[in-house]
This record gives sequence, C-alpha cells and structure tokens, in this order.
Amino acid sequence: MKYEKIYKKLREKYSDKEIVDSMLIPQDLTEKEKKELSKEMRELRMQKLRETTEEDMILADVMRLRFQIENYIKKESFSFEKTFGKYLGEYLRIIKKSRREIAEDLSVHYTKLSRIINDKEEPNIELSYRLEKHSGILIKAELWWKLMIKKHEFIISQDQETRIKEQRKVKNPLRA
Amino acid sequence: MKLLYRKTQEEFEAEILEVKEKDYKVIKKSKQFQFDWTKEKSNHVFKIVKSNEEKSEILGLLSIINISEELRIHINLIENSNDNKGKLKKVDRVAGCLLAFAIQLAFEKGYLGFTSLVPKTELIRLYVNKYGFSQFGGQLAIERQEAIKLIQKYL
Repeated sequence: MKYEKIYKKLREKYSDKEIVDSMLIPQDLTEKEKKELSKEMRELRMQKLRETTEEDMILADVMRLRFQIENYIKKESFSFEKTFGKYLGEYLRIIKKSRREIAEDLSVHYTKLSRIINDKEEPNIELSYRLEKHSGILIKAELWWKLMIKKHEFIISQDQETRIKEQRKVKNPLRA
Repeated sequence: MKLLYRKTQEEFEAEILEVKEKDYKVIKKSKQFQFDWTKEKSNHVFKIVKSNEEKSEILGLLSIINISEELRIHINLIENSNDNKGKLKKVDRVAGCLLAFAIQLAFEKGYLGFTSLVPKTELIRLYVNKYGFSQFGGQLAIERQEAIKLIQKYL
C-alpha cells in the first residue's frame, strides 16, 4: 500500500495536524473502490448541481472574471478589447443588472458610467473602490486599477508625438 | 499569491507553474519529497516557487485530475518540500496556496469551484476543520462559498 507506508513513515516525525498542514495524503483504493466512489460522487454532484441558485452562478462567474483579469494583467499584452470599460461591461452582464441599476448602486451618474463602459471616459480610483465593495470584495480595487495602469503603460510606450512635444519643454537634462 | 517566512514573518511573492519533464529530475535529486512524483505524470502536476528567481527551489507540489464529466477538479496529492513540513518549516501557507490554486481552476472551468479529494480516513476530520471541506459520500469536497473563502485567504 504505497500511501499507507509513506504515511506511517511520516507519522514517526510529524503529528497528524502537521501532516494536514503540509500534505494531502490520499487513501489507498482498489480499482473497485475507486469506481464505487466515482459513481457515488457523480450522483451527489448532479444532485448538488440541480440545487444551484442564481446567486451561486453569479458569485462563481464573478470569480471567473477576477481570474480572467488577473491572467490578463500578468500574462498578456495590452489589448483595447480588454480595458477597464470592457471588463466593467462584463461585470454588469454577469450580475444581470442594467447600467441604470449599477449606476445607482455605485452612486455614479448614468451617463458617466456609460461613457466609461464604452471607453469614452476614464474611470477614477474612487470607482475602483466602489466596484471592490460592490463585488463583495471578490475583485479588489487594486485589480480594477491595474487595468488602467496597463492601458496607460501601453499608451505612453506608443505615443511618440506627445513624448517629443513634451520633451522639447525640458531644460538642462542630465547627460546619461 | 504570497507566502510567509515563518521565522521573520516576512511575506514574499510566489507563483504556481506547471511541472515540466526536466523538473522531475530536480525533484528526485533534491530529496525534498517523500512521494514518488514521477507516478503523478499522467495527472496535471504543478509546483510552487518563489517568483522572479531563475533557479527557484520547489517549495511544494500539487497533482490534480480534471474530471470534466462530473464538473470537478480532483486533488490527488499535495506535498510540501521537507524543509517546509512540521514545526520547523521555513515557509508557511504552501499547501493552502496549492489547494486554493486547484479551486481556482475549478472556478475557471465553470465547476462552481467544486474540488474533491480522498484523504486518509484518519485525517478527514482535520481537513474538514482546517479548510472547510464537506463529506460527499466517501470523498471530501469544497465548492461555492467555502471555496471562495479559501481563495480569498490564500490567493
């Protein structure tokens, strides 16, 4: 029994609590036992899925949105299809609220919110704090704001015209 | 995600990466793991390491199975490196982060965070108390609100 043997060896050195803190040791199962457990789990799982509420679905989808934003921030290049406004629009779709309802929830003017969703206007940090609270702290203000930082990093890297225009105004630069 | 040096209580950034073929040699050579991780190759195996370090030591390992027909992620094995086991461990939160990562995958796949495991019978009560798992017949599982709590704590 492969796991049992290792467990016994570990028990010579660690308590059960210490083992749980640092490991998951599975039970040794025969193929027959595995099949039985799987059958039992399938039935229980399907039963639980039938009991899924709309709130469960919303919370799970908000979590998925959070992971999508995190992955985009960490692993992807900037895209105009993945802006603060676009993700805010997705958040509204998930929570099944209209722009008017969410504008009221967040104490933001409806027109301003619509302009932000359509990327016609930039959000401020205050809106990130409000969205954090609105999402039940599932999507933190820092994460919302990183979408703005990513956008501005991209814009700065591309905007040679403004770079030249502004740098013409500089006197006595360091000779590096 | 953040791990914690136990002695200094200083936090540091860590990341979870897929284990590649060359990692198995490193795992074996390190003598830091009690289980034979090459036996997990047919599953999805991940390692947790300190971020932004070229040859970062493996602090813990996770082996999972995606059981799509039952909309669940099954955790087959988790193990911290020997340096991070017991009272004298160097780094805290390793196993919790690996567990929360498996749950994250279960959310990303649309399984409502449903993550299962079959721990040794003697340890079931401890997994229930520490992580909030519930009994599903002969298996333990976590999902929905309890799963979110673990993610909020560790990721």
